[in-house]
Amino acid sequence: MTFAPTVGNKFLLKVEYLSMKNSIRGLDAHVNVTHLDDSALMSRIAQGQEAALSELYDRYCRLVMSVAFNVVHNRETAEEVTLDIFTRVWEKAATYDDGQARVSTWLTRMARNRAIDRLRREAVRPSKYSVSWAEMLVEPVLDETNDPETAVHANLEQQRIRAAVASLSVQQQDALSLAYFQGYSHNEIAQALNEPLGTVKGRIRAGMQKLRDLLE
Amino acid sequence: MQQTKHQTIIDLLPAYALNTLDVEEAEMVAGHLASCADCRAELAAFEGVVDVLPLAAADMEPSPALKGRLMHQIRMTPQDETAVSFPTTPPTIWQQFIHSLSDLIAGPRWQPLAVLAVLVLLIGAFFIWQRANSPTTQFVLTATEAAPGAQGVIEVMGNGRQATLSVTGLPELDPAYQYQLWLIQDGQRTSGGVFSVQADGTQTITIGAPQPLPDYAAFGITIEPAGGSPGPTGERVLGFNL
Repeated sequence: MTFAPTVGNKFLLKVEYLSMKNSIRGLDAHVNVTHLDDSALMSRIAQGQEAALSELYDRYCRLVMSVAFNVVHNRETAEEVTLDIFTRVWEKAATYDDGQARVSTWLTRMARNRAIDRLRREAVRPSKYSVSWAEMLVEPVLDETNDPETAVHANLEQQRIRAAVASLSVQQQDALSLAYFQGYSHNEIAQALNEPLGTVKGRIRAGMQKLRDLLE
Repeated sequence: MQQTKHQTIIDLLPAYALNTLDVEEAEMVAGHLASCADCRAELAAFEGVVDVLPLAAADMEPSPALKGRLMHQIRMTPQDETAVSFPTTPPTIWQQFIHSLSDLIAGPRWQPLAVLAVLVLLIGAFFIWQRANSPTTQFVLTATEAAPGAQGVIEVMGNGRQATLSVTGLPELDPAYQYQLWLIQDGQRTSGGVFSVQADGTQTITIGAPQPLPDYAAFGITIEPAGGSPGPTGERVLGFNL
């Protein structure tokens, strides 16, 4: 027969677990995590280091918030989704696999899925369909405290992506934003834009192919 | 003919990467991908585009208070894969009581007497509770390589026939498939329930068992066609052996 913890055992184990977390938290104040890369931050988050989560939040809260807001078009709901995503990062950090996806990709996938779920659960159709695609040559995105080389590289990549999207026609941008941010099917996009289905399919295909060519 | 279908699939790959296809089209693409390495490579390129698409949207600053809420919230949130795991079932009255006690202890310093009184009551109530209730038996299921992030706990109450299964970290399956719990004794496998997980990979079900759970030698969870199978046919994702 296996070890069968009673409720009392679980209480004591939880007390032990919380005191262990507190002692790790005490070390946090002495660890500078701002120079760590994202994967190293994830490892430290998995060990219960709050400073690492704080740093990851500083790096990506604007990105996660942006994804959530462009799905739900409501600031309060977008903040709830952002809070939920970073809480899940805390819970699930140990399951993150850097061989599968970059941290930023992992975060945006979660944010998009969670926000679309929320939209569907609440059966809300946002009144606005277009996404606030960024203007070109905007200010740097990453926090200045990050490793400068990493920050510059990330900003250049982001500028390249924004330039690629900006080169699409407005119609292609709208179709892609409905597909990505609203999770709409071809048919739903055609209805939302009041365009023929074939036209919508063509715009998405052409837009994605152009982005792939530009970003390769 | 094959070449025509191949070209049709290639045209659908951008939308497949965006998850914009209708179910029938998506199934057709998925079927083709299984046997076409060229299309899989092409799809990977489009998936790369999808992954960076959010970077093109304008950044948005959350309110400054949100970070404070996050840092407060994680102090109440246990992490997965730590020394202790807690099923994601709704809190029991006992857990709610412990939680309330934690909040109380964290309160103003002038409340020590109240805290002491609550502790005395808590200890007394605990012993009364333990006498009045049979202990809960837990079987912690171990993840296989098929679902390395998964966890499962079977909690057995009372006479051993009342039991629940709580799982976390299981991948969401295609609607054509579900997970199935197997109760194993003397090589015989009896279904203990068929279930799907929620988007966050969690689920809790009540186990239907013809005999007390502790009488079984092992438990397993496999992936089966939707609705379940008479016996396990699919990949095992979680298991427990005495």
